[in-house]
Amino acid sequence: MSQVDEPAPSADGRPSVDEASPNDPLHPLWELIEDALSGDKELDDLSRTAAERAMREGTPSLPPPSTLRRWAAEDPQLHFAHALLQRADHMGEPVAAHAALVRLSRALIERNGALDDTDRDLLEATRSLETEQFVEQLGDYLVPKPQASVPGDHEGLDRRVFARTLLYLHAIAKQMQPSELVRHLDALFWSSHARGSLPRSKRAALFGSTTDLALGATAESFATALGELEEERSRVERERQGERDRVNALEAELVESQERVRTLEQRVSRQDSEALELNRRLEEAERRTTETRTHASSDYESLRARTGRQLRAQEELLSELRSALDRDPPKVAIASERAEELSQQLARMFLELEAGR
Amino acid sequence: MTTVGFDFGTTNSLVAVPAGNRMIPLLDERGLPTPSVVAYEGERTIVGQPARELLDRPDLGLHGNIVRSPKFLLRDQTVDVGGVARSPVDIVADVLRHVREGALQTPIDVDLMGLRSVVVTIPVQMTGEARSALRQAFARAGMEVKQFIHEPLAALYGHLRASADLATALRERDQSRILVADWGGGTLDLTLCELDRGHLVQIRNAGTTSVGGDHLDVRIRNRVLDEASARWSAPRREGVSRAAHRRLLAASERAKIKLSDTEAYTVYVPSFTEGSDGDLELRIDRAWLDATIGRDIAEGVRQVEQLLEEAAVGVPEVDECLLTGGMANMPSVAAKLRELFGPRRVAIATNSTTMIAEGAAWVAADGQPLVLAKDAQVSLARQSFLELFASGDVMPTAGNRLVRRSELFCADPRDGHARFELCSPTRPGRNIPQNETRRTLERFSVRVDDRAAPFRERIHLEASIDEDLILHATATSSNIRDTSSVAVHDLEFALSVGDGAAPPSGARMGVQEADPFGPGDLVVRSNLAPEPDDRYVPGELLYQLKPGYFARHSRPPEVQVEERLYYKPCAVCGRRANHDDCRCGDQVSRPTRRTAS
Repeated sequence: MSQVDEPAPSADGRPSVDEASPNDPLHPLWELIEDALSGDKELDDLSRTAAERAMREGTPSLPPPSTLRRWAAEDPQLHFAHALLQRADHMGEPVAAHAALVRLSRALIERNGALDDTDRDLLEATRSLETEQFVEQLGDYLVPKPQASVPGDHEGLDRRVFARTLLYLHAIAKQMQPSELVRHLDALFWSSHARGSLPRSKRAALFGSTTDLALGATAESFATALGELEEERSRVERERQGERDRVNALEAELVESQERVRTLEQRVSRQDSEALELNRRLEEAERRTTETRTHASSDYESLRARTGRQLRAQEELLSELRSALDRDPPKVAIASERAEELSQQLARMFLELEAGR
Repeated sequence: MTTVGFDFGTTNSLVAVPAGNRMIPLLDERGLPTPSVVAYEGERTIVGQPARELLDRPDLGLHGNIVRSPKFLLRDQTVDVGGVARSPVDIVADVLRHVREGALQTPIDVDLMGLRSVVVTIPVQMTGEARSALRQAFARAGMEVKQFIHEPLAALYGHLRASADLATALRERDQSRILVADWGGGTLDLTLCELDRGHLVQIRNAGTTSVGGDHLDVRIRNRVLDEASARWSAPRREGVSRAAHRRLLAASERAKIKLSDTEAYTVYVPSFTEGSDGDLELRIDRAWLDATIGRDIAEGVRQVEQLLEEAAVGVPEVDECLLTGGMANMPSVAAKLRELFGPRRVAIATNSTTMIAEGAAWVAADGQPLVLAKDAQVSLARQSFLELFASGDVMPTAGNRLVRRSELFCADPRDGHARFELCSPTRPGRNIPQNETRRTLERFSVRVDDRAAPFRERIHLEASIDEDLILHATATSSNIRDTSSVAVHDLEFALSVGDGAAPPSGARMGVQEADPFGPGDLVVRSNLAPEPDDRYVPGELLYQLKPGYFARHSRPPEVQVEERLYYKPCAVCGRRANHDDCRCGDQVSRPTRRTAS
């Protein structure tokens, strides 16, 4: 592709006519293709107009108008395919473009039997080993070999062009499975009734338009899906953010709750220990009270018993004293001794009582 | 469950229960312990002070239908009380039940938890059978004996526990000897104790029932009566009622106390006899009192001196003398002991009548265990000993049993018996040297196969100490399958009062190089060995089995060589071995050891 200046792709990935370089050998075709894609003119007319414009402007690198006309008359699909493949080339899919060019060149050779300079240049450009190998792989994958190898098989050619289109679509989609698209588009646009009811040119135009429509629809579908996905992603992101915020809030709440729980636990622990301490003090106080009560009652009983014993002894002394006094004559010495003893005992009792013993 | 201290004393019985840092003695309504007296009048059983009042003699034991100190009857199966055969266990149970009920009905606000578990004080001399019977009596009275504790140990622990700081009191008294003199109304019990590294150990015990306080009162009463009635006519002397005797006894006791702080006092019992002037009146003074009971008190002090002499402990070596019991309140008794030990070494318990019960209750409250004071051993051949129970082993409490099993070998089965001698060192503590004197506890034997070679027959020995502190030993021979048992009732114990310190070392008191058995002792040479070792086999027997053992180069033990030669006539002159006239075997030294008897 060294001899081809590649126009910068537009926003939708399709090079416009204005953007196409004047040196582009396919420049007239671009206009033709643009018209064809817009559906304003018949493809033959467009092809012819393009050929005439190319001749009028004398672009040396273009095929001669007769060739173009012939091409257009014989098989506008080739031009159209060429243009589509150019677009693929411009879209940054050089491998696909090379493959398309190889197929295109081979088709030209097969149809014309001779090559002009441009054709030869194009052919040369596709003869690198790397390009050949890749095209072989793609062709094997997308186009059954028996059909592709049959000369003059337009349907096979169509399918090859379609294969390139699919490559293009795949290039756009990137992530789509080619087999899925093949099945879908083949069922939609290349069913048997469609092929039988439409002339070839119409079919080609239809192919172009439907392909383009398919592209558009697919792109739109992609865009829609992408938009939905984006929207979904945004929504999910928002939700995620919302959830994250909620989680953050909950986490903050949790931290706060944990802090509160910790504080409560500390307070409960403190109160527990206080309760334990109070309980211990209560038990201690109860025990002390019980002991004190026991000691007091023991002391009381001891005092009572001792006082009783002393009183009994004193009563006995008094009895002896009275008996001694009752005798005739009174036994004064004994009475005095008992009285003294009684007095001493009473004094000792008072002392003990005063001392609290 | 609250475990209380129960002093089932000779004269009085008392329950004490701990309450905080004080001990509460549960005294009767008079504020005194319950007399250990029971009387049977027909269907009636009278216990305590009413039964005591029926007694007019101070002697212990049976008085017609009255039993005083029934615990001394526990050795018998049945006793005749007022013509009725009664079980001593039942008699004791009657007293215990009365004391228990009295304690439970105490007006003192104390929770006894039904008074189900008790630590019981027992006299030092109480045997294992009596302990077992006493346990039964307590069970019949609704109480479980958790632990026995000897009375002097309880008294001493109660005395130490009354200190402000027990640990300090124990530390200050470590390695000291303390004489506990429990001089009560019925008996004087003396125990020399040693506090050695947290173990209160009894070194020696003595006692008498002839100088109890009640005896002294009766002696005063009788002399007063004798002197006062000397002037009376015969009918008057004979007309003295039992009630008058009791009144005179109370007056005599009062005079005894009164003369402690006055020089003279008049014993006066109005209307002692019938008649217009039936008063008993006698003026006595301190000299009179000393003449009356001084000999008894001196006898008590002499008992103390004798105890110390028997224990080979001089008076200066006694660090403290603790006087307790009812007689501790008598100044002349304390004065006599102060004369002996000096005033600073005599401690008189303020709570002398309750101290033993309180000590037992402290033992219960503090969980202080009773431990074995001296090793219990079985003697083996070659004057070696196998330890069955070691000094310091904690004695089992209620429901428990301490068991030791040993495998022994018969080193000399020729007479068909394996001979066991259970013995104990005379000194408490561990590490008693092998050659120190042993006291024989019991002897028994078990039949073995006399045709078997030495060590062929094994002897299984199982020894145990039960909750009544009785050592049971059972030996079974492996070949003959003969079994023989014996029980030891007089083990000696100590009270562990420390914090799990090691038992005292017997070596501290010095080692006496002596034969393990004293002169005149019946000695049974043991034929038991702890392991199959030819050195345990008598020389003459081993020579028959292994002549090569006595080859000169084998260097057999001299004692076995002597044993072999002892039974062999002199090969030159034909005289018996070691005959005085035989000079042929100068190369063989004469045996110097005693041989099997």
